[in-house]
Amino acid sequence: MTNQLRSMRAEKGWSQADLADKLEVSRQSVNAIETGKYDPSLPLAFKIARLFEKRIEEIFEDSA
Amino acid sequence: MFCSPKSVALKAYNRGVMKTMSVYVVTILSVAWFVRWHHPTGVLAYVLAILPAIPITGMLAVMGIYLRDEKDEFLRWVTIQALLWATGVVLAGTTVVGFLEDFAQVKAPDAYWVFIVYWMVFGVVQFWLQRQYRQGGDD
Repeated sequence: MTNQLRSMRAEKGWSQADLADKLEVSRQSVNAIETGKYDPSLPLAFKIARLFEKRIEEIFEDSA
Repeated sequence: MFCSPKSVALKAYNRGVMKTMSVYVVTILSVAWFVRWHHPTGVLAYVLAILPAIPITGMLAVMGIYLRDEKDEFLRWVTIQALLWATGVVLAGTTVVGFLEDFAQVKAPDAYWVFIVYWMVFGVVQFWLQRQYRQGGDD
């Protein structure tokens, strides 16, 4: 799965640590999601979507 | 374990490991001293032999509590991967050693090494995963 998290975060001017704080996860989690090495669970994906005020499919794209 | 100072569960895990390891060190030294100077036999010998295994086994409970309480799903996933690797390596290793013992008369190491090897593999895999997941994305 690919995602737009890095660019969306950059638009907000947030660091990975900032985003991690807002999502209440570790910075490593943010990094792993951004690099596509880890796909978040549905609850975390919804949390990300709410934070950026977007729909999940606007952030995450199924590459299959 | 992953460095995540904000994880309450990880802090509790580290405290739990320190406690169980401290109890283990005191227990093993006490038992070793007692056995050396008093040469216990029978039920007492069995009880003393089992005592050091109790805090060591407690490590598993500490890990179980960590996995239950860790709110960060990614950290939980990495820990589970490392545990699965350790389980696989230990199962494969003990099976090989078992056959070597049966068919090649190789003297097997003491059984408590299984636990030590298990946590060593766990630590190495955690470190390796940590490096893998960090590559290419830090800012």
